[in-house]
Amino acid sequence: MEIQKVLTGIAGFDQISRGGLPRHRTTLLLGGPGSGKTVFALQTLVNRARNGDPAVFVAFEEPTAQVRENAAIFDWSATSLSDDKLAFIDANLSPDVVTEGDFDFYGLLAVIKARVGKMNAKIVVFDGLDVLLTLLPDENAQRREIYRIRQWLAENSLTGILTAKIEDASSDQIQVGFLQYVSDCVVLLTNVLSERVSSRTLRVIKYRGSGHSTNQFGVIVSSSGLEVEGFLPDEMVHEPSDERISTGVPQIDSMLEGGYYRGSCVLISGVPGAAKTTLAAAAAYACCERGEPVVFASFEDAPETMVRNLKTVGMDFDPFIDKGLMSFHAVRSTRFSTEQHLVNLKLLVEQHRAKTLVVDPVSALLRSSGTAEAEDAGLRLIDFARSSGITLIITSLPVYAAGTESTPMEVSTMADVWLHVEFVRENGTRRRHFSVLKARGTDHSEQVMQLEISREQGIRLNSANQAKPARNR
Amino acid sequence: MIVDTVMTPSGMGKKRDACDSAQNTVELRLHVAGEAPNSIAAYRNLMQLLSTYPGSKCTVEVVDCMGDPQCAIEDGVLVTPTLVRLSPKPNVRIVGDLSNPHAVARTLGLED
Repeated sequence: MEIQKVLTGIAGFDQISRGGLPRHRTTLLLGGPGSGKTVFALQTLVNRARNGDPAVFVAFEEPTAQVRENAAIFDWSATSLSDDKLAFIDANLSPDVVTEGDFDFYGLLAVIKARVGKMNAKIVVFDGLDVLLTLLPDENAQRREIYRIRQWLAENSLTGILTAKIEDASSDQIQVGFLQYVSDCVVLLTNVLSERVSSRTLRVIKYRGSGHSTNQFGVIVSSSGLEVEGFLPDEMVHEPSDERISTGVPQIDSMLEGGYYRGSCVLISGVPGAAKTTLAAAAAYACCERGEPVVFASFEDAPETMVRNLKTVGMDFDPFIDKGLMSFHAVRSTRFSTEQHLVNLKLLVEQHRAKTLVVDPVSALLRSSGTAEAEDAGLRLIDFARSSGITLIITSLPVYAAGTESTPMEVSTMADVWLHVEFVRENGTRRRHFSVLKARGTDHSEQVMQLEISREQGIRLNSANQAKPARNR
Repeated sequence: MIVDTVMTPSGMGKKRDACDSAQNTVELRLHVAGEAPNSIAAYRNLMQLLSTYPGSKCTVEVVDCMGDPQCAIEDGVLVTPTLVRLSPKPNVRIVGDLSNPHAVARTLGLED
């Protein structure tokens, strides 16, 4: 029998937990300072309170005035909730309180119960419970009181959320271990620093009586609160399009039977200086000419620099920028975590109602955090674009392994079209060689062309001097 | 739930204890929770302690938050048992069963 659950309203979490938190049971939110436990609890309460479940927040660690202020930062309109929907009880022991001997939560629970009864509350949060537990004289007392709370919640048919801090190596471990043992659902939140960028994660490490995803997920904090990353909205399946879109370079178009399909993922790879950005910009230019908004996200150059550089090869974006068709955005990859970058990109696309998104270079997302997450991020970016019917143009540095052409994130397997530029030395000069490595659903040319860029003519392809003969497919 | 115990609900009676002539009255309020073992222990320990200081004048009011939770909130008390010294100022609050008489006496300022 599947247990009853209560939706938290936190995007992504209700999916991971297959329906939210266990009703009339205890959930423990564990995490270091600043990991988002209190935000999680508050967000859940506000959502529940709006959906007919009055709630009580008991604050052991921060004064309730502070908690209310924290809630007001988000766009939940928490302050608009009346006291009979969402109540706060200040259970902070002031610093001048001395503990002498054993004590218990009988009185505390009586006070909370009175409040619960008045509001007919359905959910109670004990935030920072560890602060009070550590004042108890010994582990037995701690266990006893933890049991008391759990019992009390069950007797009063309340859904309980406890939050507690974990530090690295502390004598509090035993009590935290016991809290975990006693709770029906345990969620671990972390906030780690990786190369000076903070990134948050969430993991359901226990859920009695319910299946759940055991993976670790990235978490974003925005003005809407917490959001668990990695979940597409209910699948928006777009019919694959038959429409061919110009790459902005007619000769490339003819190598591709007219261009790339709308909504596909176009990967442009090459070493630095290979003209990836220029090629990407050419495709963007073609979109603007058709009157379709484009978002160009650059991890390398400032917008002004790009606009200036592109003018030198015959692409003047100023009129398109003025019309709002073209938006250049420059972001330092080191500024945000991979998760945050993805969220930002999505927001940009939505804001500008863009049909095309350029990410240059997508390999910059790799620098934001560990490789495994970045691989995932690349694929998720592609997923997002696909399911929204957006054309995605990404540039990437190549990774050469034993002579094979590949990209760091296996993105090349997911991309629909793969254009590659490499440098070749001929007669003492470096020349660019362009080829179409892949174009799904297209009888593309396999010829290697010489790519030249000039002020007068922009991008031009010529037969390479030592071109390989075109193979018949 | 009000249980028939030694303790009385708030506002319904004060216990005076061990009063002899002395300069300062120490006003104490003990917040308890019904029949909870720690609360009973705190009461007993407190009475025992006060009896060892015959020279001090003190009043003890016992408040059962099970009967009147509001009083506890007003006093800023949530865990029980909590002993509050209302006077002399400043307020002193001691949480626990008061099992260490010397420490309690010191905190309350009973020792000279």
